[in-house]
Amino acid sequence: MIEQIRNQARKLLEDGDVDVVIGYAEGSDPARTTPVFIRKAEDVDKLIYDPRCINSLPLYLNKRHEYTRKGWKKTAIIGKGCDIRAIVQLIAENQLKRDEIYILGVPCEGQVSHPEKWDGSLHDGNRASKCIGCDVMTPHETDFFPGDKPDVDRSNPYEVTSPKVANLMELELDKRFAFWRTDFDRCFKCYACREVCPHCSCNVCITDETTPSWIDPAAHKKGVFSWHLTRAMHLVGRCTGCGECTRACPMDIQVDLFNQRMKEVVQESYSYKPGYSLEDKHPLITYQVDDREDFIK
Amino acid sequence: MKTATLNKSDIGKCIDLLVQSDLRVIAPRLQPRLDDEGTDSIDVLTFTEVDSGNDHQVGEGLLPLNGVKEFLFAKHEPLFAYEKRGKKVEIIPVHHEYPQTVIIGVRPCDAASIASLESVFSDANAGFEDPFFTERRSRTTFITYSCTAPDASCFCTSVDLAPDSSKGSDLHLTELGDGRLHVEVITEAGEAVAKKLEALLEGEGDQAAREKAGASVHEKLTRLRNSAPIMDWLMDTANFDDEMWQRLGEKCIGCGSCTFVCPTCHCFDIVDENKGSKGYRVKFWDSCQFDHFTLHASGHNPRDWQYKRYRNRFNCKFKIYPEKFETQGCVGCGRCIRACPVNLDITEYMAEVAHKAANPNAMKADSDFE
Amino acid sequence: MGKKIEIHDFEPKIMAFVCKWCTYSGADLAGTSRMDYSPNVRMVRLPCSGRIDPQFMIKAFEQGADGVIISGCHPGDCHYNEGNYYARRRNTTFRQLMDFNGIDIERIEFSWISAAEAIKWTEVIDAFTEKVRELGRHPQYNDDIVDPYAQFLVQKEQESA
Repeated sequence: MIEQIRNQARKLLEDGDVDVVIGYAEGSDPARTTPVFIRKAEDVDKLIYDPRCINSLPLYLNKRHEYTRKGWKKTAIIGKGCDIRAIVQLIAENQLKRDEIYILGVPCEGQVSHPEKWDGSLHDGNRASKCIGCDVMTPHETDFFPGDKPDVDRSNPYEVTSPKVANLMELELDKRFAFWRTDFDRCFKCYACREVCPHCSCNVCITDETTPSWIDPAAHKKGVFSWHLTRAMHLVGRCTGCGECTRACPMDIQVDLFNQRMKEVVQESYSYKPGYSLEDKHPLITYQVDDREDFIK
Repeated sequence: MKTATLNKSDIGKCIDLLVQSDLRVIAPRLQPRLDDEGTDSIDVLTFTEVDSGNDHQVGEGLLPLNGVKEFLFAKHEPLFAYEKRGKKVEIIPVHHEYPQTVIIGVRPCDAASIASLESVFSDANAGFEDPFFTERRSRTTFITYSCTAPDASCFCTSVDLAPDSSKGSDLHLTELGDGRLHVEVITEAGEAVAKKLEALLEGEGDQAAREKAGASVHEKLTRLRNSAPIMDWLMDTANFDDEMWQRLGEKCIGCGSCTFVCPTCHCFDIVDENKGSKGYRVKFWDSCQFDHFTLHASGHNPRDWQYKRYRNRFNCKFKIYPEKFETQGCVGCGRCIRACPVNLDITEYMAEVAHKAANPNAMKADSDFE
Repeated sequence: MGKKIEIHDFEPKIMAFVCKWCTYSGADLAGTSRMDYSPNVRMVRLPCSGRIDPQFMIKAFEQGADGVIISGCHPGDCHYNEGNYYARRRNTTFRQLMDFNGIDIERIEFSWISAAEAIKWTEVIDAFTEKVRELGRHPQYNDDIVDPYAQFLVQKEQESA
């Protein structure tokens, strides 16, 4: 399978159809992989694909990461299902044009959640919880796919697969808050969760605004809570569930629990799953006249 | 140097004794978990305050995620409070607590980083001592613990350190392999702590076994780099524009994780947090990897590309620290490698520089960047 | 006409973010008609309920509000045609976020009040104030979140006491 991808990448580079191919290569440890930018046809053999490739590559297509400054006019990118959902969401939000991207889709049966859990193969003991119930194991939007693409029914509603969200919803309110207080004790506002997100693309993030200072940059409880609540709110209806924010957190805080819960809310209230349609706008910038309003006085 | 033996199983009791003598004790602990968390969660080991010896991971696990930096150089703290009344501003001093503290279970890499922080914050030669640091430093004692099982990301031996080094330690513990620890009192502060633990210490220790046990761990490190030529190569200003910086640093996303978990990184920012006419001036951690770190008020940014920011980080660790502060900038703990979401690896930079230093006349690689 | 004045131990602080075309005018009408209602509410006038950013609500809680109320024109009557529809969607999701975070959403109220509904304004405010009074001070946002460094000033209070 990877040979077909490599051949296609080689062809694209030789024909000058793309400026760069973004893919995965062997990392500096046997258990890790790293993003790689291939500009010459002879380097395509560096491309690999296996269950260690948990990185979400579309973050390099986010304009905060300077892809236009690097001179990439047309980019080929290797995408597994969840990555392609992020790309589709970027296109739906007009952050990218469809003809700027050449999507090399790959089939995926799941990814290993942490390098420490890699033991040579993917199995239920190390599969990330985001992969359970995934309906884009065969990706939905591709320009090239090795092999046949079977039809998949993707109309089922989104399901939260992280057990922690359900656990938290079962707790009482003050215990829930106490949980977040303890968990956020270790947050030191590094903003790694923001930088890895493919959708965080504001030129000047609200955290960097100083006049007025909406979000205190210091890592006291006020600063930490206001950041995480704001981030969750800004991603409502846009988060495509790659889980990179949690993976990137250097203190192993599960920050994407907020995003998972909000995806459930958006699904219930507006039947919208982000990242499946190139045209549909996400729910907070659209409305229906008969939207739910049972809580309104 | 005074030496003794301690049973590893008595460490909990040691913590209890220290807590009972009114010391603040900080030890590595696993974060409590909330029921079944599925495959996504892993053990989270951090240094936190403990109030008994029942729940600690001293000597277990490898490196706590946070290190000891935050206990000397606070994540955030107020410098003073202020209140504006018309045109007058009243400065109100704030009162910090600096309890006597013992941090137990510190690994040699973290202990060695303290000298680096001291060279920045308490170097009397520089003409300034930061009281927020020195007050804490003077009241903190470090009980260090030699490593027995380094992982693939550790590389302390490549930066002139060792997994059993007692540099920066006040009281050093090394496993002898039979359930006993060899105890070395390194400083007066360590002597004071050893006195509190007298009841649990016995005998003279076993120097020969300690050296053998320590040396056997050296071979377990697999990440080996030659760091000797790096500083000279970086001092050559022609190498500042080498193509390697852009090639290796292209995938960096500027998340700042590496700087926040690094035991020697010490950049900070100061802002005023206002509420009406009152407020606090606050000092908190900052990172050179943020895109606005070197942004001038004019809009010009000398480190405008991400690879330039990472180049600065590498320079800081391997040239600026040794040159300006005469101390090491990188202690080989490997946290930046573990934390980086895109597997940007400082040891890859080290290897590349060593390679270029050894082959100065090799044809420059065809650059991808015209 | 006048209400009996009651003394309570705890007076909640209520923040209201209202749209100027409908709710603010309704509140104004309540004032010019000399209607009594709980004085705990502090109002911020905005051009439209669609202008209300969740940041305002988070910041209101951070600054010590015990309850937040958002109010705008009835659906279909928005001065800018559709602002209140967006506000409705935003609030639906924001409430769930607050709930997941462990913050009691009984402290967040959302209502449609038009410029003629002065009576409804007074009723909504009275009812909400009583509800928040019963809920008490906001426990989550009280101490170290509203003033993160208050404990650093303690020494001064002890010295001056």
